[in-house]
Amino acid sequence: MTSPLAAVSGVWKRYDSRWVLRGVSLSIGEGDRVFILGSNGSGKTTLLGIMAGLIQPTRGSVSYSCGPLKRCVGYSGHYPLLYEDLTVEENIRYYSILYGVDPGRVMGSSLWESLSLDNVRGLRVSQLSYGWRKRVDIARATLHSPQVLLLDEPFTGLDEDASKSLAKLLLDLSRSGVGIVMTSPRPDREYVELATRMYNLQGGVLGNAV
Amino acid sequence: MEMLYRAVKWITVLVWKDLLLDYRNPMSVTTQLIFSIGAGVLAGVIYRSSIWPPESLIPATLSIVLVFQAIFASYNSFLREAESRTVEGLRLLPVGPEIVYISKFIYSIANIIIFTYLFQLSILFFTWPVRISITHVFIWILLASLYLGGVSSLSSAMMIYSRTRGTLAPMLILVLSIPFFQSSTEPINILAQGYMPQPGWHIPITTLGLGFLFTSTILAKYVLE
Repeated sequence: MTSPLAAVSGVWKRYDSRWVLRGVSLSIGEGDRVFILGSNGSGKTTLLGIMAGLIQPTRGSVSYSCGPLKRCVGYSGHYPLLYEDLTVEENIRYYSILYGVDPGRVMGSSLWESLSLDNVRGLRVSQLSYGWRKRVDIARATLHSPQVLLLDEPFTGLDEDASKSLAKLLLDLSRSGVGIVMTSPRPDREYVELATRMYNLQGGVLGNAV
Repeated sequence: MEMLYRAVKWITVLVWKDLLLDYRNPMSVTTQLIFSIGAGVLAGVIYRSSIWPPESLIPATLSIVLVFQAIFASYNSFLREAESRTVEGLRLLPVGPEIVYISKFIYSIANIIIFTYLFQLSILFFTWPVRISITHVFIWILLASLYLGGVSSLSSAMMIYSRTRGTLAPMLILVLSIPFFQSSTEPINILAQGYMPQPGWHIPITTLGLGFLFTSTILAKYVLE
């Protein structure tokens, strides 16, 4: 059996006196598409933040077998990590150079095409709707070809066509071996159809979804 | 050599991004510009009217303007990233927190130098001819900016997750600036009196600035990770 790409081992997280996560363990293998369902404030974003290395767990650990965390993981949070006063192209160019990726390759990729980002290439992010910002942010999160992709509510704000394109894209990525973790407060069709495993995060405990 | 080249490239990209953000949304730099010229004009008028002796006016106004520029620079540094919710983007970058911190430091120091020079030029416009050595004053501003650029960037980085960052960052800058002004204003006092400071006057100030930069770069790793 090959070792998982990512292993979350007994992660606990406390904010002040409130335990948000209670001993969460999870392993992500190649091609896995994991969906974590949980109500607002259930700790989904905290779990993804810990997996992305943005939040320190109170107890427990996260390990990756696919290389250094920042090269191995792609993260798209609830708020797109884009600069509003820069254009889409400038944002992608900026992140590409810092990740050591050729910006031309990113903007000529199938991902770029499938998300129809050429239509908004020259527009400032501040001029885009939330759905378009989300698309650009997913392009940002995947530009360095991560082995593990962490997506916080990736389908939120997307129209039908964009949702279909994103679902296809995530399917293609997982077929190429990328492990994907998605979270949402609702068990929407896109997540359920796409997921190979589903979990329910409730009261800080991760359980199998029915 | 390869690593140095890559570091320079990353820093250039990070600084370029900040420059572009200020160009697209010039509200903050316009405020700095108005403040510098306004303060310079005011100080120049007071200087000419002899209300306040120049030997105490110049060091006092320069110190105040430098601190204010450091506060302005902190808003264009990590605090701006916090406001636009892009701090996580910086923290996820594989370039390392030291590179991110140094890029912010360079941007802050450039910011402080440019606007403090503008202030000084505004004073000169109203007080020409002056007795003091402009070259030495400009060198002192340059060296003071080295320390204050570090103070500004570190304070800004430390406050990214504070809800009261708008108030706490200036307070922190003020507190961290005090040791500098207590120990390093003697050359400017001497210059303001129309004399030349002793040779090598710039060495302790440079050492202080570089020491603070070195310490704050190490601390930035813990603040930003």
